[in-house]
Amino acid sequence: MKSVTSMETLKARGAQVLRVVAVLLGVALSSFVLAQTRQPATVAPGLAEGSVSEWLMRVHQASRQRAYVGTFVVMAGGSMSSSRIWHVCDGEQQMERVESLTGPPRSTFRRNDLVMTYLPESRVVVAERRETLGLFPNLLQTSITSLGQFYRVKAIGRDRVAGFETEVVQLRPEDDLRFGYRVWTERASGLVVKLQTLDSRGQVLEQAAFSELQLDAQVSMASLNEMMGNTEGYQVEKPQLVKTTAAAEGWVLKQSVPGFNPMSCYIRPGSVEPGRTTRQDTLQWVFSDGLASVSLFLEVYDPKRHLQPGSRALGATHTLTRRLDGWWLTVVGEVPPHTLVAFAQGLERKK
Amino acid sequence: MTQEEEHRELVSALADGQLTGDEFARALECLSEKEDARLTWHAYHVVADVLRSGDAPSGVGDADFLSRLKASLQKEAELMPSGAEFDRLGREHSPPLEGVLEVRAKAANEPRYYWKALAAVASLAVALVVGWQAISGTGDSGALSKLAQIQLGKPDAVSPAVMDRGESPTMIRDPQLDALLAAHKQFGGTSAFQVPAGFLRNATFEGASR
Repeated sequence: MKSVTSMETLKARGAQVLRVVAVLLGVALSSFVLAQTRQPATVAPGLAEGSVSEWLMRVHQASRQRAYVGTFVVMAGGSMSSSRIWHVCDGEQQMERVESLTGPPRSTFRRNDLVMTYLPESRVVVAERRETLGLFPNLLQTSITSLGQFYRVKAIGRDRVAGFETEVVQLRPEDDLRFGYRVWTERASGLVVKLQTLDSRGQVLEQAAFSELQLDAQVSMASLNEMMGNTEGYQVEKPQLVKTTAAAEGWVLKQSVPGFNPMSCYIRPGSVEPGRTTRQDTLQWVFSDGLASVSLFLEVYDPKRHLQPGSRALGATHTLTRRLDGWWLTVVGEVPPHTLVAFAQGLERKK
Repeated sequence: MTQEEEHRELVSALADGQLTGDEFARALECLSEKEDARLTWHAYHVVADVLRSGDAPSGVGDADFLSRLKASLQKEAELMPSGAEFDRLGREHSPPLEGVLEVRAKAANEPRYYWKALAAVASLAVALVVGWQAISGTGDSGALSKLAQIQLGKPDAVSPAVMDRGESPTMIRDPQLDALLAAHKQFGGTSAFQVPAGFLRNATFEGASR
């Protein structure tokens, strides 16, 4: 019968096609497996051994050694800002100039850990020493070496940013107390050209990147120095921070938050309120896990100024404000809100 | 042979243009009365279109669309899949391989369909390999890096959910909180990313928040 023969032929043909496809898929699968086991030689040296610290060292060194000019864009909390950047290094000194392109005009100069912020609209220049800028890798060492416990680093591919070939690395948190990051580094130099902060669902909370970059540009350190020191016509403000310890100020974190180590503690002098004799100072206690930082601000509770507890979010930065007996606590950090709660709950007044 | 098998045979023969006279009329009657016969007829035409154009079918449920597509395809010259097509095949939703094979096997009662089925399946397998290699980061061409970008999940789209909770720069903000935020950013240097990205980020963004 015609129908039986054609059915048999169909079955035979079907079997033939299936066999060929099985062979092709086998070839596809084996080449996929081969691709996975072959380690790409140029992807993030130091990462192949899984060492977070080594990779971070390389990334940090890269910025110290190259001069560059570029446009930097930051997107956080639904708003976008950009600035023009000049960076130069002569081996000993690092200099940077940041000209804001959005919002009120602002020029920020940095020479190692000295930062001068010029505000043309108010004719004020704020001069401060930010010791944390000179930190890496020294004081951060403890945090950096334990980074591997709290973040898993993985090379995830290649991309092109601002016209440069980059390698992309993902830092995935091992717990939910911190955010994840994706870092794009320029392939030749290791310079960070793009950085994203990700929440637990992998959503981008914040992004900072060069939209335009010239590596090894001609940047004159002498003229940057000159601009930085030219305070004529400006009122110079130097915030007086007093270094102290939390214990000396009567505070202890009885329940520490995993991964976060205390870094420094300062008293920020406040102004003297009219009708008062005492000054309202603010204590700032800073913690870090090597990538994210959290500040605990403590002030004496004042019902006129401290009106409402609450929490806010701006990009990756979250804040939590609440009353703690006779004190007003504000916790700020680039961490999930429940991490701020953990800090608030662990804080205790000793005296 | 069951009724169903008989109908399938009829539809298959009709699709191959082998029927005349009474048999032809019977086949058409079967198509107009039986839902599953119509579905089989539809499936044969989807396969024929796929084999002819090398594209993965997109609107399998829309017979109307397919008949219009078939008409426009007949006007065009037969094209081999280009490099871009390989990428598209890897990225677009393709019908499950087993389903396609089943339909193709049934329609493959002519020698040329067999080789075309083989070619289409081979191109799909190659596209899958290419796609996987791109995802594992060993590819080098422009199309492959595009695939990698898609795998990274649209990295340039900042989460819209954050905008609800975030403050726009034009909103009235708490100046006390602003001062503390600025103080925190000063010490945001306690991060391995501070130089350069962290410092640049803080120097760039603070301006907009004031």
